[in-house]
Amino acid sequence: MEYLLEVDGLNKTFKGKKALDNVSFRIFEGCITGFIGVNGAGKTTTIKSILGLNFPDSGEIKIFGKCLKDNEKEIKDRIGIVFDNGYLYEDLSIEEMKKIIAPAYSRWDENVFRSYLERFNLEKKQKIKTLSKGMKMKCALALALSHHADLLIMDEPTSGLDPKIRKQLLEIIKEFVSEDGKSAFFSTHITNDLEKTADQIIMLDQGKILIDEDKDVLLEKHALVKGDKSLLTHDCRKLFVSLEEKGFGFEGLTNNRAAVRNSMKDIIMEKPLIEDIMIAYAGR
Amino acid sequence: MEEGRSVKVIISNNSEVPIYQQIKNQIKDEILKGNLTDGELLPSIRHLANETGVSVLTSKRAYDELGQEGYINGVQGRGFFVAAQNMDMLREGKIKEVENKFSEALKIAEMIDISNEDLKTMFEILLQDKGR
Amino acid sequence: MIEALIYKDIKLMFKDNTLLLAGQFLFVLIIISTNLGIAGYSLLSAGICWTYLMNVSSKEKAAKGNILLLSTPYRKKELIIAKYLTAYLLFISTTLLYSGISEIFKMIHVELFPQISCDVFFITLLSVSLFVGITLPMYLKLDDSIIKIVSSIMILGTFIIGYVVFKQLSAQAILELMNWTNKYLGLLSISISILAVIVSYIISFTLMSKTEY
Repeated sequence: MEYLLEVDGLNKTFKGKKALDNVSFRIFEGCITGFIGVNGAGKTTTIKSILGLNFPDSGEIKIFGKCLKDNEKEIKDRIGIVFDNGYLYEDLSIEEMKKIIAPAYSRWDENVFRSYLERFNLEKKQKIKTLSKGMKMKCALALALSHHADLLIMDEPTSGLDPKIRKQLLEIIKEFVSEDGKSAFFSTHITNDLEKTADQIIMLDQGKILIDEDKDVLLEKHALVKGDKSLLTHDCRKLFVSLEEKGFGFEGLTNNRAAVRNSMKDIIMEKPLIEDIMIAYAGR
Repeated sequence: MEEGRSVKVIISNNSEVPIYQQIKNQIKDEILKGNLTDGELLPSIRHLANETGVSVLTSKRAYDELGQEGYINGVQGRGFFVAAQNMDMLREGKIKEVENKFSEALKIAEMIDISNEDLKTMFEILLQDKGR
Repeated sequence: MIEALIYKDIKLMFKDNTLLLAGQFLFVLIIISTNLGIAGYSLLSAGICWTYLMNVSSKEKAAKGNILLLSTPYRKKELIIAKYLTAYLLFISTTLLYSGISEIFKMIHVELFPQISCDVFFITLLSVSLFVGITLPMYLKLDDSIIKIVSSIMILGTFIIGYVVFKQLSAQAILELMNWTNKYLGLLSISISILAVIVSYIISFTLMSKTEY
């Protein structure tokens, strides 16, 4: 599998605070990568760095194996981008918006765009400001997917959207990566969306990468554990990422399922949700 | 790329067996049972991942290992196919397994002195029960 | 590709605004031209550039449009060049429109809108170039409200000063000035305009390259 995106040692300080701290990760071809973290963790900053919208203090970014600095136009031609707000011009219509964006891309495909509009129930004459949040996102998505992009980057595409639209969006992302040589990378703090969709999970917290793993491996390594407080020996405590003691019992997340199974008896173990993992690791 | 037809793979979230292993085992079973035939096209890595809710990295790993073990073949740009010569090899393997089980049973029979005649009768009854 | 960017700016400026702009255009045209003659044309030209930069800048800042555009293959230099081109496009359109109106009125023998002489054209070209050259980079760096004030002062100030100076000069001085400038006005105007745009472009580009989002 090829790397479509490689980020190495990204560091960025914003107003005295370290926004990105030695951020490194890779996105594989054919993968949907979920980029998770609480608000303010640095996800948007990372994405903006990848797109050249801000300038990291140090680090290297390679997209499609090439440096962004030297091949900006060529690289951006193959990236489809969707921002949280869409950043579309409110007064213009969808068609007018398209007339501005389309000429930038060498592989713009009008037929594909029209078919997405139809699929999303959007009329090209509609004004952007009359669209609901979900429809704006779909419009931005239509623009992003109509130039045969190889890498789809999205910043919080699902925030503020109802579950039905989120499901549609995720379906489309899956469709997108089913073609060879494509990948999707999106940041979100709604981890539910990733349970069935993501292949790889990367978690950012206070500018640092805490998790970078295959989703299934991640979920299989971890477990929600419940049991009696008395079972928590000193050694056992070390096995937990997060631990909460209430009354006579405890509840925690372990990142070493096997060890817990072996050393602790009479406990209940459950497969965690990505959300449980994110909460446990955030702000440690 | 053509899409192979769906394969019956059901993942258990509560099992202690790693998911990629479960997928491997179930596909292996389908091949051994003959539900997946020689040269048949398997679902793509993405398709399998979508159907079972696992990541492509997991389904890829299952396929890669099945490939290494000789059960399937990966063809660049076309997908994964059930490896052909397997069927005979596997059949031989299974025949050996049956022979081994018979030997085991005979060893036990010897320990408690069951006669050959009684053994044959036992076997015939079992065959009848099997509905052959 | 730059055409699309020019299209963007024209659309952003005129969308839902056309009537208002037409009204403002006519207002300036009629009120100023009838009182101050050909100065009306100059004011219109500067005014339309001012309106353009103001309108589009506020709409773009509202949409953070630059973020989206900068994520596309559009290059920074294309984004900036398009702005200058649009400004000049508007200037030329105004010139043509005014000439057209002036011709029509001349044909029906109503001397309301004096024709544009070469001198006036070159002076206006120079003013517009300086105006756009100075304010365009400002839009990249400063807040819109500040620029509004600064640029209004610039236009009115220049206008008032020019008018006052003109009135103060003796007839002799004016003749001498006109003689001299007649020879070189065209050349001066074009070369200074080009210089102003180049310097302005370099500043704009540098500012944009340093901006982080």
